[in-house]
Amino acid sequence: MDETVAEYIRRTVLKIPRDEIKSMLQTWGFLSETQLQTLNFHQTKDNISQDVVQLCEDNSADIKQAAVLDIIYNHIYPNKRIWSVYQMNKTGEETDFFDLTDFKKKFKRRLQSALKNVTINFREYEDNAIWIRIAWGTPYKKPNQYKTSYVVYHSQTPYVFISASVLRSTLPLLCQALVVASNYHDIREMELRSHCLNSLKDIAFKRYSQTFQTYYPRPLQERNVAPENVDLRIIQENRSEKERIQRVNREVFGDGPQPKLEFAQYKLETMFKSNPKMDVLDIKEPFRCLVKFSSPHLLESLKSLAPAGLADAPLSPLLTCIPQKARNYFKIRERKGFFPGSFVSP
Amino acid sequence: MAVVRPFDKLPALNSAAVLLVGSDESLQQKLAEAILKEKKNFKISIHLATSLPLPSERDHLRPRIDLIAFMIDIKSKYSLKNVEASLAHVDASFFLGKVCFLVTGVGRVNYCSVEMNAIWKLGEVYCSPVLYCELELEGIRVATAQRLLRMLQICAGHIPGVSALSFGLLMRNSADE
Amino acid sequence: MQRRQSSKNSKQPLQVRHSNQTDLSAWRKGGRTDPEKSLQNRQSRNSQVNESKQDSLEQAVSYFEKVQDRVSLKKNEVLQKHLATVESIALQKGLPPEAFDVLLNVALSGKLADAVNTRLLKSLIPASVIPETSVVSSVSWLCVSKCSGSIQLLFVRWLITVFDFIDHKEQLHALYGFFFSFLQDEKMCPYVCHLLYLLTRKESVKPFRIRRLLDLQAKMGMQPHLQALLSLYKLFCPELVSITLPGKMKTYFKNSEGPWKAAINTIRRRNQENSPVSQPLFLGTAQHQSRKRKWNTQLVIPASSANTNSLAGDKEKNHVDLYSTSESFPVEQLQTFSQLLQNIHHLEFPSQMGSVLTNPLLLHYMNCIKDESIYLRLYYWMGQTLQEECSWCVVDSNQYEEEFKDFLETIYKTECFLQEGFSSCEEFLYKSLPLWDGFCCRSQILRLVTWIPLSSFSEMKSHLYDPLAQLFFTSSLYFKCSVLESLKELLQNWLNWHVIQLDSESDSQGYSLNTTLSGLVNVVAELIHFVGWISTVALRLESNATFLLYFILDFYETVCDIYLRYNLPLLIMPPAGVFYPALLSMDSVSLNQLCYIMYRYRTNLVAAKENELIKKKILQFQFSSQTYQEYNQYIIAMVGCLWTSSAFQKDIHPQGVRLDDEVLKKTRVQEFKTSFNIVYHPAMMGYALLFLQQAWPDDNTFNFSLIKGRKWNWYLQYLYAQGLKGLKLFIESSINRVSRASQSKEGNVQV
Repeated sequence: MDETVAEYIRRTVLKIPRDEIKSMLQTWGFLSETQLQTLNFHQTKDNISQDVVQLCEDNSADIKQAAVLDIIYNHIYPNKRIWSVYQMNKTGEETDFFDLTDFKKKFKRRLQSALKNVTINFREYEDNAIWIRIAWGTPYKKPNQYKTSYVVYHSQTPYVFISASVLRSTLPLLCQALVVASNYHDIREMELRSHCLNSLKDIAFKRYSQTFQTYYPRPLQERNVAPENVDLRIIQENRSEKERIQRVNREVFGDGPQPKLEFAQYKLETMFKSNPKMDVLDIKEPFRCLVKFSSPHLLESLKSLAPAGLADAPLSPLLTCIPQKARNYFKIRERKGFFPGSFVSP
Repeated sequence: MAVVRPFDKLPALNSAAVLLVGSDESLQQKLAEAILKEKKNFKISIHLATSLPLPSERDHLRPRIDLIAFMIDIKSKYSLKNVEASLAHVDASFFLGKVCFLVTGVGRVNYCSVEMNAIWKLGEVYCSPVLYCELELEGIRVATAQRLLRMLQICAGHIPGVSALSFGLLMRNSADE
Repeated sequence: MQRRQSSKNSKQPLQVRHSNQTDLSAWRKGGRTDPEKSLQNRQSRNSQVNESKQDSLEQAVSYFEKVQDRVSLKKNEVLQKHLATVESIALQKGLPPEAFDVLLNVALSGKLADAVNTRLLKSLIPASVIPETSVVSSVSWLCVSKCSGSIQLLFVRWLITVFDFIDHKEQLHALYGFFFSFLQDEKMCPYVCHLLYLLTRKESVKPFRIRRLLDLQAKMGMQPHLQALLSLYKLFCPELVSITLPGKMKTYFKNSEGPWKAAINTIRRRNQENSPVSQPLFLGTAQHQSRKRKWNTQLVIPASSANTNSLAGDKEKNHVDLYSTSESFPVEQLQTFSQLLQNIHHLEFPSQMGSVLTNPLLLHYMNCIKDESIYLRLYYWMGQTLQEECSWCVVDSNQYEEEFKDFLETIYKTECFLQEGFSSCEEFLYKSLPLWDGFCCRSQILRLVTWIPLSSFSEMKSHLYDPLAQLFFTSSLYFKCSVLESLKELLQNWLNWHVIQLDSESDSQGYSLNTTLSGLVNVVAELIHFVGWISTVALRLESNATFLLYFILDFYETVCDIYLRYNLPLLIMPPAGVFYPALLSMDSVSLNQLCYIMYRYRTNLVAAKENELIKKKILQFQFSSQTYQEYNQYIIAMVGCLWTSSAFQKDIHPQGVRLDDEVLKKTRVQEFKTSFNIVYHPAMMGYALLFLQQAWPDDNTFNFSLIKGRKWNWYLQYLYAQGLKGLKLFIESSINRVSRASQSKEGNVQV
């Protein structure tokens, strides 16, 4: 067995939390049940990884198998990577029947024709998702197994979730291969990024709850009334205002849990507006600045701003449009004739 | 929407009403509970509002307000703006000793996003005392509740010989004495 | 100490030094145990518990000792492992002293990638001390510019943060010039300034350095860090720095604590939670009951010093030579009285200035030598600590309120010991009082207030009186009493200070009335007026509570005696808002107190008048006729009330109790004239009743009018016997009893 493969397997095992090592190895299925039984999972992770490598040595594992283990790990822990959503377009209305083997073949051929050295692995999951792992090399260099790209493609949708390799130059090639293999015409980045792959899927597939569709006034009101009036001596003067905030908030954000995003970024290229008495106004150059909102759970925190009394309800549509627009990177430019601050898609 | 007036209603016997205005409702609620826990020999009603004006549909239910405490969080510019906007809906005679500014967040001065000078000025302009505190801390919350109660007692006229106006004058930083 | 054991010098017989402990060792915080031994014990116990960890750390350190050039972190498993070990142990327990040498060496040698160096530097968290030699050798790496600018910067920041942990600083001082040369680096400049600020001694201030700093200032503009250093230089050598610098700066240095401080504090706390045995932090000195956080550890002088080894040799013979060579003598080495005598002119204070606070010997010494720089060091440290740990200004410190209280308590005790306030403490009070809730650390803060030094009234007013008044009016009765109590002590401290000034002046040129005296009189008068004002208000707010009245009158007991007891030409009468509630109080204690105070006022005023008449000297300070007038008004009211039963007629004070007979008749009170004399006064009626019972045991009619004539005198004797000493003094001094036999004509004496 190759030295690098052994090392790669060892490191992958080290990444897995100790009590999940066994189940992941079972999912992997490369080591037989009897082999697994010989493993002692109660020693240090370092030792476990050595033992696993030893067993793999016995089975003479190659990089393909090692890569599968990596896919399994990434499938369970997709939050370790940052994902970006891409959308593909077709020109005509031709409805192709998606053929997986065809897709794989085309995809592989495209990449391998450009780069000789590249490791490509596929793994299908039950939700129609195809996980693709690509380790990149050059015609003269072996693929770097530690700087991989990941692609999650749902064959029935035009959306692709890409966690790009640190080798940025590989991205165009990857996109090309995807378009070709899936019979699309072109691909564009949707400017939607997060660590949470599932939330990205929720947004892209419009799976998160929207209130204007599902509006339940009654249970909500009951929920509101219950915690208040603990003491009759405390009187809430703005109850109706609070209810309005609740309602507005519900309309904007819905009832259910929000998809998880970590940041939203707004690049402003607008003119500086100021008091006409000040001279700064004369500058015709746009006033450039970057506003970045970050939070472990951005949309939930935006949602709780108004009820917590930290902002007026409703919030600016710039902030609330994130799930609808399916993007969290914006560029705000001056638009002639329109009111300032309106944003345009690039 | 009506302007709140201090003297448009008759006072009720042996009772006092305080109005807390501030955008942070959870802190407001906590402070109100702390006030209720204190021992006192009169009936109290605590009115919580996020901003003024108060909704007029409840006007007839509301007793005479003896003291308005505007809560400002130094960590939130919004809270200051909110208070500044609300001040416009307070009758001028309230500022004769029946208003105070409660500035919270003193314990996190590093995260201060409000100009302290602006708060100080607010107190000057509206002739009202500014109390600093950190409502997040239980001990300080209790101490603040006690201080508010003392002021409320005076403003409600429960302490013979001391009127809200004279007390307000005492509380002002007497720079112009 | 720990380091010594492991280093090459460990074979020398260190114990010799400790075999001859002397009486002076007492100042080292009680019975000191042998540092070496106890540390060995601790270490051995520690190592048993943490053997595996210790092993892995040793491995890691020895790995870093031998590591080759340019090992890539990504590819090298072993490096990764050892790095992780160092990091985790550093965060958990801190690193032992011997690890620093190796780790600093490798981090600054540029052998490894910057990412590794950064991680190493960030994990340099001391468990106890950092050996000076390792710092020195790491500084040497800076000369050969093997490491990048950012690493150098990180190192300097680290040095600032852990400065107090370096076991001694002799050689580090020798590198002063070297650090100084780093000032030209624009990025390093602020941090290097901070470091130099910590290092500077008087001998470091040289004309060429001042010139260099001034050049820099000219080039970069008025930077706070440069100003800080310059002002320190100016303090040491005012003759060399001629430029004027802004007086008070808020913050000279940005917070440079970096990533270490939190970790250091956590380790402190963790060590504290464990049994005291496992504390490698507290070197060799005796166990201190409540040492918890930074200041507490610093309160104990680290028992380690530069010349330990040479000392240990044959000290009896050649210690004189040894010491004469060194510039200064570290107090840590002070063992015998003869040593103290020989080195008294150049004792060096411990590098942890805070340790001075609990050390009476050092405080004495500090008081004697009057070296500004020592105070400056102490103030710098104290100001920083107060600001960072203040439990109502910093939410995160709130859980350590008890410790902060201890700290404030310690400062207060030190102030009492030195009989003077610290300016850093004053600044802290001025800054934080407006934000104070009057609850947190109440008694400690109010005690610190008592040591606020005299300053101009406008400053006192905006910084002390205004915030205090706001709290005072809105807080409880108890708080009001505490404030009055501490203001009384503040007044007494000021007056005592004045008396001491007088004493020291009288030796040379006698009592000269200069401007400072008039300044003092004004400031003291303002304080008394302030207390009079808040007392008047408080009595009304608290409906004349007796408890409160006691504290107010207590304050005036000091005020009424200022002229005679403190030799300050100032007497201020209490306002009517205090006088009348006391006079008409329901409680005999208050009335008695008031009588005593009026008696003392009289004594002081009479003395002042006599001095004026006898000396015939034109004094700059005379009591205005208004004071006499006020006194007379009060005394008329008092005598009218208590003695001649004519209060409602004779009182001439504008705020007094004078009432027309018409009005009085309408009240339909019988015998209103006598209702406040010593028999009928509500505070005295109890006594009168008991007196009646004793004098006429058979009479149950309680006929108070029986007390007259000779009985009146008996009654007075009875009252005196009941302990009403104030009343006795007042009556005997202020009431002119024409005929002892008859009470028909009683008059009062006006002055």
